[in-house]
Amino acid sequence: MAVGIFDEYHLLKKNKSWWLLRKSDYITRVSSLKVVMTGLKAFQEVGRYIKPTTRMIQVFGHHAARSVLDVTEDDIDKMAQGSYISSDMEVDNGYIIMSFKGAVIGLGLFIDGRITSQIPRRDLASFVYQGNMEISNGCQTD
Amino acid sequence: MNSPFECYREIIPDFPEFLESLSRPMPVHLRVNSLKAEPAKLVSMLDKKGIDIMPSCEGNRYLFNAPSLSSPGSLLEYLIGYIHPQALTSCLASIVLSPAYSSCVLDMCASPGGKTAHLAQIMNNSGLIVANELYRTRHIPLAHTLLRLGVLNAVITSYQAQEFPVNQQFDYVLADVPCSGEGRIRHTVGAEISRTPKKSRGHSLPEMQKKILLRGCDLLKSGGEMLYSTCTYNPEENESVVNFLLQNRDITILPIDAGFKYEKGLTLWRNDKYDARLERTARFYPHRIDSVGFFMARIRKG
Repeated sequence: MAVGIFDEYHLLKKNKSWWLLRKSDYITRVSSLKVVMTGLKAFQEVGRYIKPTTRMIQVFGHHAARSVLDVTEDDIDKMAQGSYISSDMEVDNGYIIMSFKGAVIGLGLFIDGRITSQIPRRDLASFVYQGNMEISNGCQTD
Repeated sequence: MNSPFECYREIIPDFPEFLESLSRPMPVHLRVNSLKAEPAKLVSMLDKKGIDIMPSCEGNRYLFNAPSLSSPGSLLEYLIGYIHPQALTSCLASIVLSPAYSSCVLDMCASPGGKTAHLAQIMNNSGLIVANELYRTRHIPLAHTLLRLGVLNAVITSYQAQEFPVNQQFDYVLADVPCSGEGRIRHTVGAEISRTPKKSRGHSLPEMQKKILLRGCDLLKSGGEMLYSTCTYNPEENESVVNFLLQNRDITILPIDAGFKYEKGLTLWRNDKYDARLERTARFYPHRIDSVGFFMARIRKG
C-alpha cells in the first residue's frame, strides 16, 4: 500500500489487536471516558503472524497495488463450501486481497498456489446466493 | 375495532389518511454509504442486478427508495458496507443535525448505530464521535454497524445516557432517546397491533427522556447544537419533554429544514399548554412521508 495511507490514523494496541482511529484534537479531551471500543479493528496477532481484518481490508484494500486476486462466483462457491481455490499468481505465501466484481471483499491465505478464504463462510455464501438469504439486522430502521 | 391511535385523532391532521397509511407495509429505504461507495456507481451496480432504486428526494444524492427490494441485508453491497437499510425519517435526524467536519459529537443512545454511521458519513470520518450505549448486549450490533460501514472516527462508551460524565463538552449532541416506538407500528397482515407500554425497565419513559435531554444540554458547549428525536406520536414523550428543557435551561429551538413535509409541534395536548416556541419542532407522519412516524426538536444551547 502507498506510504502515507495510515498517516491520518492512530494505531492503538490492546491485547493482541490493533485498532485504527482517525486522528483528532478531541481524543485527549475525551480521554477520561471509559471506552469500550475504539475505531476500526485493523490487525490481530494470530500465532507468529499479524493478520489484517476483513473490515480493514474492505476499507483500505483498494489502495493495494499487488497481491490482489479477482475471484469469480465459482471461486466463492468453492470457498463457501470450505474448499480452497487454486491460483498461479506470483506472490509469496501469506495473505492476499480478494475482490469480486470490482469490490474488495476480504482476505485469502495463499500457500503454495492454494487460497483459503478468511471471510466468514456465511458472508461468502450470500455473495453468491443473493436474494435467498435473510440477515436479521439487514432491515433495521434505526 | 378502534385504532390504538384513536387518542391522537385531534392532533394528527387527515386522520383517516393516517390510519390508511398504517395498513401499507413499511417501504424499504437505502442510504448509500459514501464513506465506501460512490452513489452513482452503486446505483449502476444494483441496476445491473435488476434492482431498481430511485432517489428519495431532490437535493440528496445518497438516500433512495427501493420498492422491489425485500431483503437488502442479503446483498453483497450490504455485507461490504456500501448500503445501509434505514428508515427515511431516521436518516433525516442526522441530516438535520448536520455536524460540521472535524467537530466533536456525542450520540447518547447509539445502538444499533445507523444514525452514528450516518453522522460519520456527513463528517467524512473526521473529528470524533462518542457513540454511547448503556447495554453491553447492544454493543454488538452497534460495533457491527460501525465496522461494516467503515466508520473510523468513533469510540464506543457504555454510560447511562442521563449520567454521562459532564467533564467534557461537545459541539453536537444527538439524543435519539428510548421511546414507546409508536411510529414504527404498521397494521400489516398478521402483525399484532398493540400499544407499547409506556414504561421501560421500570422507568417512566418521559421522566427518563427529560433526564437524558437535560444531560445532553449540559454536555453541549455554548452555541452547540442538539437534536432530540423519538419515533413516537405521544406528546408526553415529545413536546412535553422539550418544554421541560425550555423551563430549565437557556436554549433556543431552531427551525428544521429536512426537505420533507412535516407538521409543526404542538402547543396544547389535553390539559397541558406548552411554550409557543415548540411550534418549531417537527412531527413526521407516515401518510405524509411514508416512513416511520418521527418527532424532532433542533436545539441550540444559549
